[in-house]
Amino acid sequence: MPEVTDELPVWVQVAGGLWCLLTVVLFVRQILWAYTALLGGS
Amino acid sequence: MSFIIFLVVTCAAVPAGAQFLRLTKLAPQALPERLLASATVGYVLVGYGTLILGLTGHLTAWAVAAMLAGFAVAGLGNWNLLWEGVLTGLNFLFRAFRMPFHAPIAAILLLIVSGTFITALEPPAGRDYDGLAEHLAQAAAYVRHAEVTPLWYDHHSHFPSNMQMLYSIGLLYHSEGAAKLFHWFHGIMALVAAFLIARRFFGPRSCGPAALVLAVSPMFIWLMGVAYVDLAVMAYGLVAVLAFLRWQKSGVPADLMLAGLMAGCGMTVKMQGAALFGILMLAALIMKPQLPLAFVRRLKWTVLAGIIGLMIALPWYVRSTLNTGNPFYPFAYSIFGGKLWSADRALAYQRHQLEFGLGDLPPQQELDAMPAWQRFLSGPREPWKWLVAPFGLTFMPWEYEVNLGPLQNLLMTSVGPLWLALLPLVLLLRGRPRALSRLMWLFLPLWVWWFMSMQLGRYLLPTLVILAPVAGYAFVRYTRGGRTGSYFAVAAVSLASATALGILMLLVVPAVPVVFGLETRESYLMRNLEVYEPSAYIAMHTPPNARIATYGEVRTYHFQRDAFWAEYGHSSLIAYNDMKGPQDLIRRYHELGITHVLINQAYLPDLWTSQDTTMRLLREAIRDGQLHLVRAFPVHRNYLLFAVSPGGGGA
Repeated sequence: MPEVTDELPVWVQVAGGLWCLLTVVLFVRQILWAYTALLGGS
Repeated sequence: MSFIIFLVVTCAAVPAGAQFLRLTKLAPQALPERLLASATVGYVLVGYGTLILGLTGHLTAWAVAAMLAGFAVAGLGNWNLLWEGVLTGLNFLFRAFRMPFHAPIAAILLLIVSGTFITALEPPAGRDYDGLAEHLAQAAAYVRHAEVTPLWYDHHSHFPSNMQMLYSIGLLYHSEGAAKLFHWFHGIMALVAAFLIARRFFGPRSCGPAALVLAVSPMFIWLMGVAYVDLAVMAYGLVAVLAFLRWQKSGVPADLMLAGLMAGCGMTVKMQGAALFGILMLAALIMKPQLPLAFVRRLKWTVLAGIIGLMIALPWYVRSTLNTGNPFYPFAYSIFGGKLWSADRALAYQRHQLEFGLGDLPPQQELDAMPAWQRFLSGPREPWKWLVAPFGLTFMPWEYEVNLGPLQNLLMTSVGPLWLALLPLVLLLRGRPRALSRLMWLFLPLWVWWFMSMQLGRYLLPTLVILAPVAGYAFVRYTRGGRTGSYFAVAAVSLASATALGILMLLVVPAVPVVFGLETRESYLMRNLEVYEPSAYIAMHTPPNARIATYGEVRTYHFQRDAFWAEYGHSSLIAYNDMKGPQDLIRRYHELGITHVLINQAYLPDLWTSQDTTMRLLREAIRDGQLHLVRAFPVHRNYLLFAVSPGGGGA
């Protein structure tokens, strides 16, 4: 069974992590936008 | 009671499935795999048993009980699988707490599984559109007549319907909760299968995140609480992929046969399962297993696996051929034709399917004028849209689903953000496991197929899930070491999980009173399903042999009477264009046994003004008193119920 043994370079981890976080934040932002649009009736 | 019915059927199905696998020598040695494969085969066998009872007109509670008892006896030697499976599951869960991140992941999974258990037990209401229109409605019609007969007004009833057979069992014992729990349980099977693929091929750290990526998908959470069929296609597909990857590693032919069998089981639920079946069989030829194996032997085993898969699914397609003349009815109309269908209906149906996705489909005249290649790559299928589709699916799900409004689409029919967040990260990884590339290559043609056919998010998820283990693996790699960089990925997954739990609460909290008996079913449905008001009236005030034709409405499950989708596009049973006046329409109603007509004006806003033939005939029949108003509904004023005049049509 393969197991993860090596660690990624810090820049890869940071860049990947930021992409990941940005995507999820944008998704949540979309929900908030849709919610406020619904409240505003637009 | 619902849970007990579900449990009894499952406890009869799983050991019977295990016995089938034992007899065919396809049973995997490892217990979790054996359990999943046994459940898959067992449910399909029970579905076929129910179909046989239905086709012979014996779909009664006693006959089904006898059938289940027969399955239970047939699987007697495998009952240990059930309790061993439960113990293994608990063992996995407790051992998971030893791994980094696995304790919170296990807690989130438990919350989602328990929360969706509650939504699965709520009466089918507004969120269960296809359940009310097709899956439960078909099963209810079969149960009412103790017979599985073609419902000619609904082309979906000719599709492979293994899940509808299971739903029939639930409804036969007066439990729609049990019916919905079958779908819910297939979601659990999918989670376990994603978990297992990750565990077997990416190591124990990846398994929790793999299941989590699927579990926090808003669409998955919604599907767990409705009577659709997509979770079954998803579960069987994942088990097929698991078996396929095992074969790639071990080279043992039984694993490939099992993959074919599991993918074939997917085709008993939905034609969509054929795509994965075809890709797996093709991949078995193209992808070389880890241990060297001569091509001729691979070819031989692949052909055998293909035959096994086709054999298990074949009866459904034979049934469709015998009934309609087309194994894929109403698709491929230009090749096979199809009873009570027509070229204009086929075209309208195709256009409806091709309209999903980013951008608009050009008008048909424009399409007809284009060369074939351009027609193929126009509208939502322009090539650049294939590249932006991952972003569209994540942030604009309303483009890839029936548009319910951005908020509802984001909360219910979105695949969620973690696929886009985690999957691209594997591109930066070096030293990727072999299985990762295998899964990516398996997904690629399915992704193209989805893009070129019907860009409905719900049709993508059952194939997207084969990448859940890949996403789980990416999470593990990017959080390994616990350095500063890892916190971003952890924060992202935590935020996505918190959002999913919020969505879960939005669905669970309103369901709690009705599930725990604090609110009556009627009051709950009155609040949450607009068609329930006319449905309850029909169920209470029309004779048991009434048949209700509907216009602008297809959600007929709660009628508890025979229904008939009467609009032109559904079938050619009512030849509106050949009718000279309303008397012809009424005569046809009589011939078809239609006693009432329900109109939902919300979807027919131009009912009183349109020059469309159907609308005009309806208007004239109402004006002439051949359709007389029985009930205008006080709460949902858009519904009107008419009775068909018994003497009409003779003029």
